[in-house]
Amino acid sequence: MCKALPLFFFFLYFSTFGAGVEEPLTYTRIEAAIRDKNVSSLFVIKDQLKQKFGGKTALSKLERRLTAEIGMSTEVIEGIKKKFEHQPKIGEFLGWFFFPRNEFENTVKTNFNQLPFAERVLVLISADLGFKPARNVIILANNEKINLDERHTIEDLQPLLSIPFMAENGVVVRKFKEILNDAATQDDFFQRFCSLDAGSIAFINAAYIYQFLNRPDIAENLFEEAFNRYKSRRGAVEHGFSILKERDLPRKDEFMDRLRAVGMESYALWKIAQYHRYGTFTSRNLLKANRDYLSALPGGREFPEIFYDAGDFAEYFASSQTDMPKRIRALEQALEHYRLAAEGGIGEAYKRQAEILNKLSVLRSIDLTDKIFTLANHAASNYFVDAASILRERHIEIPTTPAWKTLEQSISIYMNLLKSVKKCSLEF
Amino acid sequence: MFFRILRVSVFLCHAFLYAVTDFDDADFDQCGIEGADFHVVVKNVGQGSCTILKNRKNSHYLIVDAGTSSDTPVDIVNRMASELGISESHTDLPSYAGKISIITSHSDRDHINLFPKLINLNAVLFNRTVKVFLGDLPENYNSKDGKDLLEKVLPLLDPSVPLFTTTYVEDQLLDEYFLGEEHFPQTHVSILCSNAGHDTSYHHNENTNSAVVRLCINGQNILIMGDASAFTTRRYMINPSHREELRDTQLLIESHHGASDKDGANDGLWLSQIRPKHVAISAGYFGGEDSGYFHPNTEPFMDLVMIDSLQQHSTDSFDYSDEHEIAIGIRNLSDIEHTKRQLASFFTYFRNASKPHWLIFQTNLSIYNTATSGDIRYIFRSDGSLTDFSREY
Repeated sequence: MCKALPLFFFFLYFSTFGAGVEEPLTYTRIEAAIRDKNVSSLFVIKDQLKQKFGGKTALSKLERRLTAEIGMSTEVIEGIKKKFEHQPKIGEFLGWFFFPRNEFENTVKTNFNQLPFAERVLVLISADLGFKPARNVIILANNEKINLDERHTIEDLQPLLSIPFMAENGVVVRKFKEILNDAATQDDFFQRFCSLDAGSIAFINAAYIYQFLNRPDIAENLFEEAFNRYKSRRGAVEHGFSILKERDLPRKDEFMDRLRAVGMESYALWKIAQYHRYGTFTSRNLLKANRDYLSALPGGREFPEIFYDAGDFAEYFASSQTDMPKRIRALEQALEHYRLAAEGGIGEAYKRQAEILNKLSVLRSIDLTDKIFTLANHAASNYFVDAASILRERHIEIPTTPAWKTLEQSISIYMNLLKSVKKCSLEF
Repeated sequence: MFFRILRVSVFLCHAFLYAVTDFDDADFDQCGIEGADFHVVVKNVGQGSCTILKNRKNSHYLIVDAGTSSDTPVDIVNRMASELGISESHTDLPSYAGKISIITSHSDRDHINLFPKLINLNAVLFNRTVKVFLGDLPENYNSKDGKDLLEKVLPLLDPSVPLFTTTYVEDQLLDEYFLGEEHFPQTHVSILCSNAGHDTSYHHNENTNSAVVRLCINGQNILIMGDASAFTTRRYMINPSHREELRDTQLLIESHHGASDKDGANDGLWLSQIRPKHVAISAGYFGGEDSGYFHPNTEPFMDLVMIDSLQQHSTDSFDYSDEHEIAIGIRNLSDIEHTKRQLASFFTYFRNASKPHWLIFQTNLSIYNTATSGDIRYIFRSDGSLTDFSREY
């Protein structure tokens, strides 16, 4: 299994903290940090890393950037691999690792509990950095792994808060609800929790738990603490949401300031665009949303979700147009947004591009079959399931074992698109 | 420094590009805020049921049932999560998500057992829930999945979230909305009937008690039937005004996975009253040598052939013939030739399915089965017209 899950990349970024002066990146310093297992300082480093690189899934790009900056060598990677021979514990900090998406989704996701222990740690770490598929893996795996029946007190449960995304696990949330079952207990735990030397993840998790306990007042405080202590982006965003509260954006400027402090101005503009879009539905608000999307677009390189969502907005706008040239123009604009989103690592955007091309082929009466094929190919390299279209295209026999079922089923979207495009081209 | 300058240049170029292709104010003033506003997605969950209504004006989602019993597609929970807008974002930062309402038609496993799994995947999702309706009698939720729903899912919701359940009310009015203007502007979602077995020998029958959900967009009806039986529809449709209201239904999500009238509400009488233009069936391949349901059964198709209300696939954006495949279950293999002949006028026999009790037909009529078409998505405008359609594995 170890060989089946190759490590593509490892990166650690070490700097001093407290003094606020960044030290140069060296492998010696990284090793020292791991050896000393100074967890709280490593959390600080991780947050700095997130600020610097965004914690995104555009892993190959990130990999190139990091490699260029710290000169990661094969020797270093091999050295790190050796570290896993000592069977580290879940949650033990070892560094940040990235998996190629396909390996991750297809091997890790379904077999997490069968993975060697060290690789499970890697998954946790990847998840911690914000690799969304990893997040889903950890949440699913934790459902089976954590025996909550043996945890009867808040002290038993508290260590779980340090595991990333634990507060998104319904089983865990229920257990916390069961134990923190009245306002006095909730207040008491909050007071004690704040006096602990907890990391940013623990603050975020605790805040989500308090949201479930219907204590938005405490949740807001915890998000703010995560932001104040660690400059946590997630803390900033969630605290920003609690500032906004209402959709008519009465405290928009405050929200902007909060996110600007963690270098997320574009992200904030995007959120405001969404609030305008989904708030009171008027053409005036749609216009405001359009302007906010426009202002947020420069942040699309760091947050490709902005491109994706702007594409969705343009597509929605297109559907409201009865004037055909305007509809086509809006669709073309959506296509461009989705293209940029796909470049940023959002695989779903390939599919949306294919769908728009299909529409454009009808509206403009042109044959875009080749382009749709190209998109299908790109999607195949990003999404394992869509690789089926390539296999079928090349007349490769598709196995019928259960593991391949999705593969077999996933063929139809592109084939259907192609079929309809061809038909349209003939009819028009 | 060079890279920094390059990066700034790229941003400036993009800013310019978008500035010159931006929509102008007049575009928004003229658009009349009539767009592709309502998505009705029949999710492919195998043998089970899950329909998601999405209002794109305010990003409100309504989940009507979420369950599966067999033939379940790989990764179904993630795919549902994606539909609900919690997987589009690729960072760990929170993304915008609208509100959610939940309706369970009745207590059968294949309509409810995905809710706990969804919660385990992302409990935060349920922080967004604003309204819940439980069809069927509360005491029928006594199976493991029913208890999971009541004891694990519902307690996670905010205590202020209203939880509804009803007894059957004779002559229930069509304007008693479950979701009104606040959540579904310019339209409404109502529970047509629930617990129709009330005060009869069907009192504890889950299928008869199934809630029937109606989304009405500008007078155009979309009906989600759950597992309602012929008893359910007869009791409801005995009222002439109800028959009038539901005539020429725009979209019917067939009852009980396309079961024949012995088990479901898909009898000819019901279909001839509502005369659906578009039909979707949520069914997987469930059945073997000795036993099974073999959904969708042949009989509803024969009735639909006679009623002749189905439209050819057509929307206001796309007007093309969508020749697609549909799997139809045959309980007795000796009926295969008879079935082919009976359906020949609208459904062309294409091939045998990989399962012995199903035949694959081809048709360009607007009737789709999740087993052969995957997720089925209908997109409606605020005026009730069908503006777009897609099917996707």
